[in-house]
Amino acid sequence: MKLLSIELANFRKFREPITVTGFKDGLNIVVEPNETGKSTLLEALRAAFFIRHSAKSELVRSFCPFGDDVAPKIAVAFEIDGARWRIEKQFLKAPYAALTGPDGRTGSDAAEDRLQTLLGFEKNNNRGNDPEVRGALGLLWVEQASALSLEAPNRLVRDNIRSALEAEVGMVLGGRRFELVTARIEEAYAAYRTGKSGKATGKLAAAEAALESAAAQREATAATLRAYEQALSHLEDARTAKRLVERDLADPELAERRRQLGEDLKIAETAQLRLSNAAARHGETEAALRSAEQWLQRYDAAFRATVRCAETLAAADGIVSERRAANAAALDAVAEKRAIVARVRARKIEAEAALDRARAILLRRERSSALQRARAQLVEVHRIEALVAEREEAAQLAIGEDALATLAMLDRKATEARILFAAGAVGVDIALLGDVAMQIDGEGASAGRRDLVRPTEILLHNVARIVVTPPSVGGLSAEANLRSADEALTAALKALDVRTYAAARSRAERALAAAQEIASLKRQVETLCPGELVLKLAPGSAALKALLGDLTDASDDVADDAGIDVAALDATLQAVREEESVALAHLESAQLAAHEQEKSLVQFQAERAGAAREAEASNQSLLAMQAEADRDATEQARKDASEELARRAEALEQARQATTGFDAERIRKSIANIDHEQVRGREERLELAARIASLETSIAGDGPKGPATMASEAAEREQAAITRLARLVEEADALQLLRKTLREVGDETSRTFLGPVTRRAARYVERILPGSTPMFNEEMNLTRIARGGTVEASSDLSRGTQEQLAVLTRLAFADLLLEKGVPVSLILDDPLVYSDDARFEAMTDILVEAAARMQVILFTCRAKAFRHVSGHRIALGARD
Amino acid sequence: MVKIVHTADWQLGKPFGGFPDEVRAALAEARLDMIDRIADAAMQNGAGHVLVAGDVFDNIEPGDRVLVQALSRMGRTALQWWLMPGNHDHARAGGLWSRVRSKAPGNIHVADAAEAMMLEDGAWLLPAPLGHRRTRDDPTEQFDDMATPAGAVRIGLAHGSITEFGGSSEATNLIPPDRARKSGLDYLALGDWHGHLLVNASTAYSGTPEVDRFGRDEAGSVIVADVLAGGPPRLERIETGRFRWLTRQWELAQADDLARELQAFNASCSPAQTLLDLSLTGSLSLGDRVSVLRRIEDGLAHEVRWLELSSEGLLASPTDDDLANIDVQGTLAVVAERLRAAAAAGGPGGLSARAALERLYVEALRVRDEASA
Repeated sequence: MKLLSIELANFRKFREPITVTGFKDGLNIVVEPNETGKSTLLEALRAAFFIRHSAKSELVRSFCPFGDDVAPKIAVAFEIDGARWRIEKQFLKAPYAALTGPDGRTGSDAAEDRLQTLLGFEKNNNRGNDPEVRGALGLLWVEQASALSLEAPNRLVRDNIRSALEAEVGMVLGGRRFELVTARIEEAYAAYRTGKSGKATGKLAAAEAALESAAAQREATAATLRAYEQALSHLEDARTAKRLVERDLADPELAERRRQLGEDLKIAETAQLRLSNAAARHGETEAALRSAEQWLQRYDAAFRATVRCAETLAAADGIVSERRAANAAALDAVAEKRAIVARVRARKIEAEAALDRARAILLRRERSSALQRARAQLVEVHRIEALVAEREEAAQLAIGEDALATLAMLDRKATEARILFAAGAVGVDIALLGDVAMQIDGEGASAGRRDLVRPTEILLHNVARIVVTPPSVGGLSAEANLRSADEALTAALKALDVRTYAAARSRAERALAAAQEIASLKRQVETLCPGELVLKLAPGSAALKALLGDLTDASDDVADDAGIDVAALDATLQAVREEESVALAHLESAQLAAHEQEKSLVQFQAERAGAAREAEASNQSLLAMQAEADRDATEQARKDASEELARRAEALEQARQATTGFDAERIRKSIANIDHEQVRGREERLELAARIASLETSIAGDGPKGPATMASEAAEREQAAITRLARLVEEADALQLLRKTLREVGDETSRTFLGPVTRRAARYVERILPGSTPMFNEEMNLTRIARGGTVEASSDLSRGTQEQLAVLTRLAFADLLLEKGVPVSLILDDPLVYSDDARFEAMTDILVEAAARMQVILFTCRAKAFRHVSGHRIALGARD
Repeated sequence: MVKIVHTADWQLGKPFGGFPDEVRAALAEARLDMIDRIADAAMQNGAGHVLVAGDVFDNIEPGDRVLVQALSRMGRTALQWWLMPGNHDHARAGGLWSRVRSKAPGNIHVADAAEAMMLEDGAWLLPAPLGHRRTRDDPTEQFDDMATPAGAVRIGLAHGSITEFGGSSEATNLIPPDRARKSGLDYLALGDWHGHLLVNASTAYSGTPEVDRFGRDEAGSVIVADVLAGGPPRLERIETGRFRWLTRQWELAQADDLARELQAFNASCSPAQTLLDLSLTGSLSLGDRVSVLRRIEDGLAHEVRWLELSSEGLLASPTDDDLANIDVQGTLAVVAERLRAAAAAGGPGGLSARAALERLYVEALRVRDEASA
């Protein structure tokens, strides 16, 4: 096939008519910058061949220049096997197609059909976008976009290739029939199950749904029937129950029993009435009797009380008069005793006076003798006091104990000093034998002893001078010591006015003795003065001296009354006193008795007054009762009542006996039970009747619908649905198996044809990918490349390689189609964009080679890239 | 003597749910029409009573439509109709028979109690109605207790199996075959068995007046009986059925056999009133099988009222011609050969393979025909 020229008008950017001519055999290169309409040209070519002129699809409308309302028009001149053709199409407005060929001109649909047959493609779908039916040109006219992808050749191409290879692989395909049968089977299968997932659809799904609905219907009707039957059985139960209840209600035995009980009740009630009457009358009489008896008791008691009160009063009167007499006697006795006491008292006063006189006399005598003793005592006191005065002098010379001790100590020291002096001194005893003046050491001296401690000159006037010299040196200090000791002693002695220590001692002793004597004498004085009670003289000498200083010495007139007997007088007085106390005691007891008598009298008088009141009251009460009734009459009434009571008690007992056979309460309860039972029964009957009516209504409503028929019909329908589904499943299974087998065998066949395809493609692939083998799938799509023992998916190859392979496989297919004699024309829109220089060169070489076998048209914007490629260059600018 | 029509097993209201609607309607209508035909038979034979021995209705609770239709058809006649509950429409309180009673005109009597009923002077009906679907007891035992005036005709009416042909001891509603003799019956009219059957001289099954299922080729019928006191009754079978339910099995050795069978079949019956349960057997070439089935489906299936076709027994042995018809060579030929082998191997997949091969054959021919057209 060879394209010769393309004319466009009103097509996309080509509003103005344009004609591109000059396409020749071999390689044609249309070099134009971007956006000049190369791709539009390719689009127009496709439209001219594959889109029916009558089409109104979106794609077709897009042919119209933007914003215009015109008719896109295309005309293409081409040559097949030396014959020239021209296809001319106008779209949208007054659309038409015209095919002019060696055998004339055809128009419209005939032109379209002729074109299809001529070029080996099929009628496209309405949108004109099904690549499967575009045949060889669809594969070989490669748009910019699809050039990049490795895609399977369309079905028509595959069929053509296969039939081209039939001889080579020794296999007849019968491809067309296979496709048709497969399509039919797919179509038929699609009515049962979906092609992909095998899910039920179409009539199978409908049958499944029908079965489901039939099953639901069967269940529903079965449930309705069950409910209906249940209602029936409930109805029967209710009717049975109602019959039983009615039988019970109409039970004649029960009615008879009820009637009998009614009669019994009447009898019982009558008897009961009688009993209560009898009881009332009995009670009445009993009360009358009790009242009479009580009255009588009260009367008798009152009577007895009156008598008793009268007696008590009389007794009280007796006692009171008795007591009064006794009381008078007691008062008399008291007066008598009082007289006696008076007399005894007079005598006692007398005796006391006599005794007092006697005692006064005796007292005077005692005072007188006491004075005498006092005087004697005073004399003695004076004597002793004289003795004391004597001793006082000596006692005043007393030396204290301490002074004496000091003195003793001084004396001892003086003695010791003397001893020391004597040891050193020379004792010189001078006795003057005549009256000679003597001087010692120039000083007059008297005879006597001298202890000399230093040379001493004793000059005896005109007689002798004697010097005495003491032997030792120490004599002098001893003498000094002695002198100081002596001086101390002397001073002490002098203070005490004694000459020596011994004298001091003796004087101290004497003074002590005198003091002791004075003390003794003083004690003696006190002993001498014991005091005198008669003289009211206190003990002690001072009191004595004071008393005697006051009293005149000569006032002692003591009478001589020697005959006074105080003791006798005292005895007399004592006797009288005893008598008085006896008389007083008598008086006291008489007074006590009289008092007792009086108290008793008062008490009995009170008692008598009480008795009198009681008697009065009982008399009154008795009188009142007598006014009330007569005792005898009452007594008679009591007797009558007693008799009447006996009679009525008998009647009561009889009435009671009459009631024992019929317990009204029990009978009533029995009647109530029967009545209650009847009421319950009637209620139950009503309830049952209502229930029966309700069930009957529901049955009457449901029965006519024929629940059993509906249930069995639904069951039968379900069974039919099951059968139908099973048949459809069988059919579906058969179709599925057939479909599967068709596909398997189809794929196997496809694989048979892949060898030759692969061999042809490999020749080209070797040029750009040395040592690698292309691998096709059943759809003749190059999916993998085997290289150096590894296999990689073609989709993993670089874009450039993918594009190159896409062009190369198309070339291989084009070769195969050429062998088959299919009109072939290769158009590439801006190819090899991603190729490196080496590959680019290899590819252009291959294309140039291919152009020797078929017309190749390259659209490109890269003038420089393709400059080295020899080919026929065409410009779009060549317009009419 | 009393002249009666003995019938049973009307199965009114049988739903025929497995049939298409138009067939169902026809079958249902025929069941009601048979009442008219029974009435005609009675009138023509001078019988005044129609005794129905159970299963008047197909189930215990048919709809009012059926019930009223039946009662009004009976009511229009001058006959006395005696309806007894059977096992399908057994008597129970408040159910179907209450409705029947409430709607029945005066000439319809419901024999739902085991009590003797006077048919007319000197003729008594002793019914043995069923109160349950199944009972192990003999329902006719009570006949012994039903006293009738001396010299009166005693006709027993019962529903159940005769012990002799009931077979196993599991059967229900069993009736002893000598019940008529035992209970002093002049005739024992039985129901339950859908075919006409004379048990003995005075005991018979009338069969159903209108057949309701396959398995019984003869037409539905009733018995017209002249019953005499003390003597054996005179029984006459009268056909009343409209539809015939035929069962056929055709053995086909070649395609031509079908034509012969069809011819014979058409001659034997009136196809429009025939329901046919047809089983095909034999072995044919794939082409013959397809053409046989097509002819049956396109022809016979439409001629008869209903065709229930079972063709599994008609085996297809694909011949070389068959396979060549699919395709001599190429992919389709491979597919056909593969399916043939799978079908020959049998097993569960074999059936599918058979069907698939048949389908392939049909489609391949169709494609060829279309191509040549």
